[in-house]
Amino acid sequence: MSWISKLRNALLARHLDDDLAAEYEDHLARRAAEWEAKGLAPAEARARALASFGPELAFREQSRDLRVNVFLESFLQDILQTARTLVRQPVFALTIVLSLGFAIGAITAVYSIMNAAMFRPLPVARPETLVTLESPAPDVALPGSIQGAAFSYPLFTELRQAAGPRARLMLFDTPTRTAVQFGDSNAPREFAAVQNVTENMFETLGIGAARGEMLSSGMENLASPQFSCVLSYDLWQRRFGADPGVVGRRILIDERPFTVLGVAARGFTGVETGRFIDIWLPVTTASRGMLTNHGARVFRVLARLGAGVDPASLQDSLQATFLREQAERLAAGSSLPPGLAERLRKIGLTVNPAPGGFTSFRRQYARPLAILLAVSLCVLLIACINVAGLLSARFAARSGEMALRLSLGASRTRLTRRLLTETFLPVVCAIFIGIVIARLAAPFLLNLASSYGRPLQLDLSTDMMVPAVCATVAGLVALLCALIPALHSTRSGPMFALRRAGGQTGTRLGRVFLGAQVAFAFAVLVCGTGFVASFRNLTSVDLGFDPRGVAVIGMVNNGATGTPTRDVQMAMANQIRDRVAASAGVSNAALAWWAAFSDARRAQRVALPGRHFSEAEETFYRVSGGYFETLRTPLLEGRSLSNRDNDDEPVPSVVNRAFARKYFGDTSVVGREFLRDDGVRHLIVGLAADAHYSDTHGGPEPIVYMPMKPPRTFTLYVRSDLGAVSTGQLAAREAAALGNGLHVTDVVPLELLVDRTMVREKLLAVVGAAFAAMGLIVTMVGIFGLLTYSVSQRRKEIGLRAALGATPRHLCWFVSREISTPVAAGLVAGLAGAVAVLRYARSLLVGVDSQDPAMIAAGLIAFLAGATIAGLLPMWRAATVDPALTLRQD
Amino acid sequence: MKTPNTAQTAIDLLVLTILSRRGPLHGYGIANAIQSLSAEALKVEEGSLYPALHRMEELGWISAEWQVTENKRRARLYTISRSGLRQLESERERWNDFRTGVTRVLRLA
Repeated sequence: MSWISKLRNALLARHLDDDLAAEYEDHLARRAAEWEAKGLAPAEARARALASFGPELAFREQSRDLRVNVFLESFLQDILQTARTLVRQPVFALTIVLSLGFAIGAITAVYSIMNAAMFRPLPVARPETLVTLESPAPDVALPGSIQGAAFSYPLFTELRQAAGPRARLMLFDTPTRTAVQFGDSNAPREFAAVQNVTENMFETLGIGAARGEMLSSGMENLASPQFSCVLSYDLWQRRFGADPGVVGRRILIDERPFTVLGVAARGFTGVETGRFIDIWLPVTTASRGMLTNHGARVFRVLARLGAGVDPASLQDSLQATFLREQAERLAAGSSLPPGLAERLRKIGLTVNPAPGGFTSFRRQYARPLAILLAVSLCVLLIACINVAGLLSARFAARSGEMALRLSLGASRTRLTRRLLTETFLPVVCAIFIGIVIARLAAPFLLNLASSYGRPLQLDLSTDMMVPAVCATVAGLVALLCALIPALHSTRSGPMFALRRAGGQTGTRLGRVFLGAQVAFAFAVLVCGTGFVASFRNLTSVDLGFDPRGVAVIGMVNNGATGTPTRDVQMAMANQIRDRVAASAGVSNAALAWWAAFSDARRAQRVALPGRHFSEAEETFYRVSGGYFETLRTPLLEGRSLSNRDNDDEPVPSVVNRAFARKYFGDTSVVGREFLRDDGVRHLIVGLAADAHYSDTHGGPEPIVYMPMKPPRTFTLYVRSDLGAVSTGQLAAREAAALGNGLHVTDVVPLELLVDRTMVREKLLAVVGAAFAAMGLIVTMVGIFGLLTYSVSQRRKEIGLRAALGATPRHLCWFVSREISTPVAAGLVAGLAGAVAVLRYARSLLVGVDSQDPAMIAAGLIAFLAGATIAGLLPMWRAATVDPALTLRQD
Repeated sequence: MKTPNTAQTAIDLLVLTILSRRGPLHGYGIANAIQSLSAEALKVEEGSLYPALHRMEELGWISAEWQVTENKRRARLYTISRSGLRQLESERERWNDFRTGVTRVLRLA
């Protein structure tokens, strides 16, 4: 209680002072009145009263100390004085607060993403007993193949049987962005992330229902699957406004009717980091072919270990089943080259602990995030050093004042505390700003790493780790920034400091700081330059087609009454293409099975007549007439495909130059034939220029273009100057006019599809460039501060030199000579750091070597330009020193 | 617990006794009471009373309030609290023991 009153008194110090003065005065007045009543003159009475009272001021101070917490009060005083000082020097304060705040914000944002994406286990019961079943992808895997997706449904059922009570296995397909209609077939199509899972997933993971019920293993019935689905809590909130009536509703998922069984418990977003699932379907509702084909190895398996089972023993008990099935499957596929078949046969099954679920996101982003964390750490160190440098220069400049205080009897602890407060106050402000910036920046970074149809989603909110890390970082910052300069500043004895020798050591420390700062800044700058150059290289890759102005329109043909025949489907597809192509503003249109850069691919092995099949699978792409014209892929020889071409053998095909070079060398290819691994013959009728199909990394891929065959869903490429949205509306109008159940499902500019293959590089380039700029600016402030301080300290010497005839150029050299050594040392160290980081980032760099001289030169030029700008003002001050004025001053 | 300080204990004992017998008083009144009751035997600087009052106030033995007194002046009036009364009791016992002890030594030594 007394502590509370002391605190109150400390906070209301002025009130307390008045109170005490009034009470003491009351006593003196009463005593004086008494004397006056006895006949003394007022002045005399007052004097008597004072004499009997004793040393009033001393008593009052005693009272005061009793009534306040002295430590607390002086602390508050320090804070108030510091705040006043900082407000009086806004540039100084802002420099510290903003540079530190941005750095703390950057590192916290990157860390919070890393934490959510890398370290956190799934929010399910006992995540430590979860394992993934994986089979390492063969070395001929296609670029688009899914990590760990090595299981077919038949194989899964065999493994499930083999595992018995040792583990409960769950099957997952790759989540897809699927058109969903929350209503009947006339409801608008919306897109949701849909995943097929085995019915036992919810019970095995221990996911309860927020509403309704979950799929359960009792519902599994391969013969007559139950068309039920489970919605995510997020989708339920977002799309249905948490309407409890959603349970039992009928919805159309990819044109097929499902009943909503329930809503999954809050917080469960699926078993893969970075990807939120909206709707779960029973895997038994997938097409029959997917469930019976041993070759459809498109599923991933997660398992919950039984009590006392470890991953190794589970792996041992499943290995025989896995290898037997694999051998049977490979024996059935006769087209495999013998060497490859032998290699594939040996690839076994591995069981790995997976408390965080599937990790393809982690594999993709672990490196970029680690790099960003390292770079943001550099920026933080730069900012710390800068603050330490600024503060130590300031403390050094005040060494005279400190010495005076020391010699007047101030205790060293008291002074240190004062200096620490002066440091901690801006640091605390910076932490708050940092947290705010992190809150804003983390979603921005996620957005940057997201792309069309592949939103990157992480739960950034529910974690105490991030504030803890932030506090730790800030503590280290404060320690580095405050303790060293503060101790340095109060160490010098009064006499020593009064002789003003402290300034010299201040700058020496400053030079060390500057060297370190330059090292970090230059490292960040070179890395940033490297990432930007790499991204530029990636975006300037010749795609082999011109994506600008091309809209990719997904279409589905349901037929007005039942599924139409293939001929009708083909005719309708051609009609919609012709109608759209003939519209105003449209220059060309073409059909294809799916869009390029959409991850969909048909890949098969290829052989020349009489030769073995290739080990690699090549891309086969079905396109209609007008494809090359629409995408502006140059046709080099022969003819293009037309709508009259069909699948009759030999199938007329156009191959690209990469394909021709790989299989035919430099000879002419038009008129030559080759075989597909299912035995179908192809006749090459044309040669197209190289083009990328799924990725801009690496060289152009071999592609075989073959004639269009009518599927239920297809893609319409439209080149127009209308913009993607209007083009989509145009196609939708034409489809409605045609009738017969033709719908537009999805519209996207082709450029977006291409862009999303460069997300990681874009992330690194944007964030790397931002960090580089931040590091450079902060370092410029550091250089400016140090030079300004040094010029002001050595004004007399400079004046003397000027008086003795030194030219302005000499004076500039004299001033800058002091920082040239630390800057040079810093540049060398920074270069070494940058090369190390870039070597680690090698797999993410396109056309940039970790020791690229052009990149290093660009970084150096940027740095020197920044340093020169920072040094201009202090140097100009030095060069224009008026010797007479300076000499007169001291 | 602080080590007992005889001078402090004495002044505490005086102030608490006076406040317990004479009700709310301002510092000036307490000072006058001490002087008149002790027949000017305790000749201390008046001002030293105040830090003692403030210490006891912080300890919660007495409480204070600004009030307008008889001659229309504002004064800070002190009242003894419940814990002050308890303290007075134990202080008085200790003082009596001390006095008895000292008296015995003076008489018998």
